[in-house]
Amino acid sequence: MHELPVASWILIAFSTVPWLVATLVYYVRNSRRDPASATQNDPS
Amino acid sequence: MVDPVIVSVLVLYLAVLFGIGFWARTQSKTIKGYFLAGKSLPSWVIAFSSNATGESAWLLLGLTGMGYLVGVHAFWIVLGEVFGVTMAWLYVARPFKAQTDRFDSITVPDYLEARFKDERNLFRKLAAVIIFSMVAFYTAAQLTAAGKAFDIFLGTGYLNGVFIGAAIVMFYTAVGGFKAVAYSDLLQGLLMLSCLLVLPVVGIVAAGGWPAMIDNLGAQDPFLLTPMGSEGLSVKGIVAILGFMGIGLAFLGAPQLLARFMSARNDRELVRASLPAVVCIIVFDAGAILSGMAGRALFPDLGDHESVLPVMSQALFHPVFTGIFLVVILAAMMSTIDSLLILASSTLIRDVLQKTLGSKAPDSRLATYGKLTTLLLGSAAVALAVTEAKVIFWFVLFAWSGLACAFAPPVLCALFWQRTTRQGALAGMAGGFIVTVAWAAFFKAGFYDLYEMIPGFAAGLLLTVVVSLRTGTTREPAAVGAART
Repeated sequence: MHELPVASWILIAFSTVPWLVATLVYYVRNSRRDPASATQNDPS
Repeated sequence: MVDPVIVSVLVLYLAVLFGIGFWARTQSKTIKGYFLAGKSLPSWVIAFSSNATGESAWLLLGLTGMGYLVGVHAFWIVLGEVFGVTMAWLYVARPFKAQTDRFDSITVPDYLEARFKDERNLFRKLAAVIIFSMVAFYTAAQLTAAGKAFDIFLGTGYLNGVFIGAAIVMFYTAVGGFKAVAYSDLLQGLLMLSCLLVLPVVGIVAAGGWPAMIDNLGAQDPFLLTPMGSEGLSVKGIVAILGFMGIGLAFLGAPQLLARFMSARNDRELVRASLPAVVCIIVFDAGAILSGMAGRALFPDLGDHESVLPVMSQALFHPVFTGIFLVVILAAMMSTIDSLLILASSTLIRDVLQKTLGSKAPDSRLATYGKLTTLLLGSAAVALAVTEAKVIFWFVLFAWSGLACAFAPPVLCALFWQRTTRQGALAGMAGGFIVTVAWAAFFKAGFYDLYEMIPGFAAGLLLTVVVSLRTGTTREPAAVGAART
């Protein structure tokens, strides 16, 4: 019976989890900013 | 005999695209409207448009095929792409948006010209050469794939398939402009996301579940389960990994992706877009590779590993879903073609006609010229796809690299390094592009097939830095500071 080696699990985890967590932290921190600080374009 | 269910699904999809083009037409009457949707797009549209533009049919056919061919080893591509997308959204998007709004830029050469006070339009001229040469073949390669997909699923014949695919994209792009492109990208991205969520799950279940699939793959070839693949830690193995990871560098500064950041309604929409964009790219890439691995367990003797997705869709799903999978493949191609046509069209109208040749034509007439240019460029790509059938997949990765290596290094330095000079940015742009082309043409075979993105990107960065250090005293504040205010 073959199993996926630990090194492969590490590659799969490292290619996804840290970047997802970093983006989540960025999203939560920056979403809380004062809406007035957002730069607004003229939609015309 | 063509399945009427598949045809119905396809016709429905194409009708929706026509509808989007028609709906978006009101905002395509000025050049800012036609080329950037008036900088008014919301977060979800930007997030999906960015990923759908970056990932062409290569994702669905090429990357699934890579999962089939090398198994877990292909996850190095996921690492490179997810890293690239994350860095782009966390560090590039908002500073770039702030700078381009400040300069009222519509194109990337617009930004570079304003940032470096380039009165001789050298950035625009160089960018035009690079964009036209890369976009022509990139688009033709996608149309070639579209022609083959129509032919395989509907029996239209290759040439008719190319014409049908091109006509649809050219219609909604020319009529609706960037807004139609972006919203059709949203639809196309959602279709791709759904496909790559469902296919690996169904494939793994059909293969007997995760343990059975892994056991099956290990019995076929133990290297399918190892991260280093069959080459291990040899030079060839390391070079392969670098090449896999290098694919993701383009997300940091390919011009067709930077245009998405510029088109955002405001800074907050970019923040909101970051999370769906990163989740989406993870599902895209991991889903494609896991689908390929499941396909290998189910169909170990495929003659063409890049046919694994069509084969799985036909073997595992009802014809309605087979039709949807055809639509998804076409969606992946179309979402890239439309963005490339708009990119090349904006370069010709804004950078060449208006800014370099000094056309005084009113805004509305320039937008009309933009539409005509879109049709003209699309027709040229059709001619190339029809006459040069060899223009296929490998060129997608080459053109992806050529565009990224020319634009990403000077743009990143312009944003984050105060001492970047005009001469440095020009050298980096020209050098990144030339090294990419020269590497692919002359050196690649002698260096274990190292993907041209690595030397091209490195050359672009190195030349920008070295020439800037030797030439300049420019102290323009970097955009990152402005973005934090």
